[in-house]
Amino acid sequence: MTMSMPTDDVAVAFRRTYQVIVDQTELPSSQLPAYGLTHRPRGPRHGWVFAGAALAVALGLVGIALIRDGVPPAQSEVVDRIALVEVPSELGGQPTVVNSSVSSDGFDPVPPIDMWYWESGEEASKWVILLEAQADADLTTALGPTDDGNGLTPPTAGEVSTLSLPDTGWLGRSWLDGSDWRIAVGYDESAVSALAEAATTGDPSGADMSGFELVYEGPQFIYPPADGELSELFYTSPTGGFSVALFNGWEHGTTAAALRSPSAELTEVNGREAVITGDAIKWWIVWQIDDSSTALVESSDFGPDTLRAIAEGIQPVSSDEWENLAGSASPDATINSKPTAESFDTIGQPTVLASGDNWAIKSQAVTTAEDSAEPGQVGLCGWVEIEDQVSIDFGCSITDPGQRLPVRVPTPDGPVVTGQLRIEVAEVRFEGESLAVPVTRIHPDIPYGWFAIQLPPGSTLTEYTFWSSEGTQLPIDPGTGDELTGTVHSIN
Amino acid sequence: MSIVQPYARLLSGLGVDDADIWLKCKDDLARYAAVLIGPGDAEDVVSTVFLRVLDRRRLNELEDARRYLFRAVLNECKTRGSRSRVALEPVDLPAPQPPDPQPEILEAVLSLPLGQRSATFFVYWSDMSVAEAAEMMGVRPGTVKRYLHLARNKLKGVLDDHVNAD
Repeated sequence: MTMSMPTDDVAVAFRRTYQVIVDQTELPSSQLPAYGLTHRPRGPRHGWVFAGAALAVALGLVGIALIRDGVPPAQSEVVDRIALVEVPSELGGQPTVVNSSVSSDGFDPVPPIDMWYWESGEEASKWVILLEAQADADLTTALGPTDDGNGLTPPTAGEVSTLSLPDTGWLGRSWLDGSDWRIAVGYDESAVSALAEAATTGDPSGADMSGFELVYEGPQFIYPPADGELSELFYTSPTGGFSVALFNGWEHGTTAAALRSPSAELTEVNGREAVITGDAIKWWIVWQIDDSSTALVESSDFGPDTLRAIAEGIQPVSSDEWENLAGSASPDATINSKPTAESFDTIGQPTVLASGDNWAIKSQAVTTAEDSAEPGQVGLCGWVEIEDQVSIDFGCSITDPGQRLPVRVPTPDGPVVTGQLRIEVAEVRFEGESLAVPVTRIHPDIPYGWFAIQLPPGSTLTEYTFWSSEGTQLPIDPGTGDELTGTVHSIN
Repeated sequence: MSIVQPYARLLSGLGVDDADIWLKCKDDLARYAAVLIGPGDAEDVVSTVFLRVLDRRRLNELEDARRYLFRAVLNECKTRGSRSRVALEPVDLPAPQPPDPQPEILEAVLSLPLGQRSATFFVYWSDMSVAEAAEMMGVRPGTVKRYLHLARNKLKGVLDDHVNAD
């Protein structure tokens, strides 16, 4: 017969164990400084451990719900892991797990980003966030890399630049304030502008934010925060793929945050309030699975009805059950077994940009489906196939087609450099070499195309310049303003 | 290595207010770090945190420097690896101290994730309320309750097994 320990014994066991540890701690000297110096000691800058900014952005905005208090969950409601337990008929059969991940160490020891967060309206329908960091790299961490199309370019002193955040509906301003970078983003243009205008004359935190309530001021914790853990399962089924995530102890992905997405709709999952929303590429549904955990189902293959059905079939599972599922993922099966292009309605056939012995770099024009959140958009996709399998998926540019930086792709025949350009380019010069660069237009409505150039054997190509057919160097792409002199990014 | 030298170096760059804050917190920070990452690394964690914090701001500029430093210690320990194990030397506790915890109990406590270890340290060793522990950790009270629930479940299972074995 099992005898249950009295509750107090557990506390005593903790206390005794910690006492043993503490008793072994050699405490530091307590001497006071004789006199203070004027300089401050400087340690090495920390390194950010960061992943998944795009997902955090999709959920609304990182950090918002840090300050929200709620009712502590009853202990019986604690959920550590979730999985799809009841398979909906829409999936056409039993899905299999193709990938999994758990992340809990994404948070900086001394958060380098400070945040001010205001909101207004009964439903907090408008919000504005001011971010401050010492380097643009830190803010890039918060908002995603510049080649995600967020327009995050460091301004010069005294200048206020405009951010482009097309997929979110936000607007933003960026400026340099002494040695600190500041970014204001939000749904309210006048408030964002007020912050930016105040920044040019003094302290932006003193801007006129009448009508808004300052509800948070402090460090911004990014994906995942100190107390959070993200666990994900990636499924594939006969009719498409989807992912199931649990933000455990992490409140950044609350339904309130998702509700701020322009296409968000309130719905319900197993009696709990949920928000379903989407963009041109995917749909996702988010709900509170208990009072300190948020569940998310996301798919670029399925629409809202199927996502709801999947969500209804998700239930808590034990850690062991979850580990068994994660362990069943085939190392050969990846979520990229087919190109992102097939998540859309394709236009025509794929165009081969470059090919060789059992490999090809392909591009295809696509349009967003009628049941997507942004139907009828035309975009361009690209990927690399080796032995008829998708080896590298560049994804698709839909709502904000822009230049993709050149990348060096390893192929069985050696490296190929590929990228997107809006202009016709005669040649690219590098390391004393000069190669013609034909830009392949994939669709007449898309003002840019792909190029792919096979590098000569032994070539490494790290720095490049583009030249026009008239023999003049092209420092700036007139279509985008992007510089055409730069560095090739290696895929691996 | 002498433990005096690094702290003397740290303190030499401080204003009086910062030094006062630091001296009031450092022992508690070292104990906290010891529980999270082990006595051997505790001091290194605390000095690293101190340098890192002062790289960005003065302690007396912070609204609650003590709370901030505790969070920074937790996060430094996370950065060094949440899976890192506390290494303990054999210890002789003076009488009439309670006996050392059983090895399996020690093992269970030290295998807890940092968040759970942190919550149990504040609540069961420092005698803080759940709300106070949440403040120190920068999380919601509900999160601390959750950590306590998970940690207690883990240890309760070990204690039950121990009682049954006896």
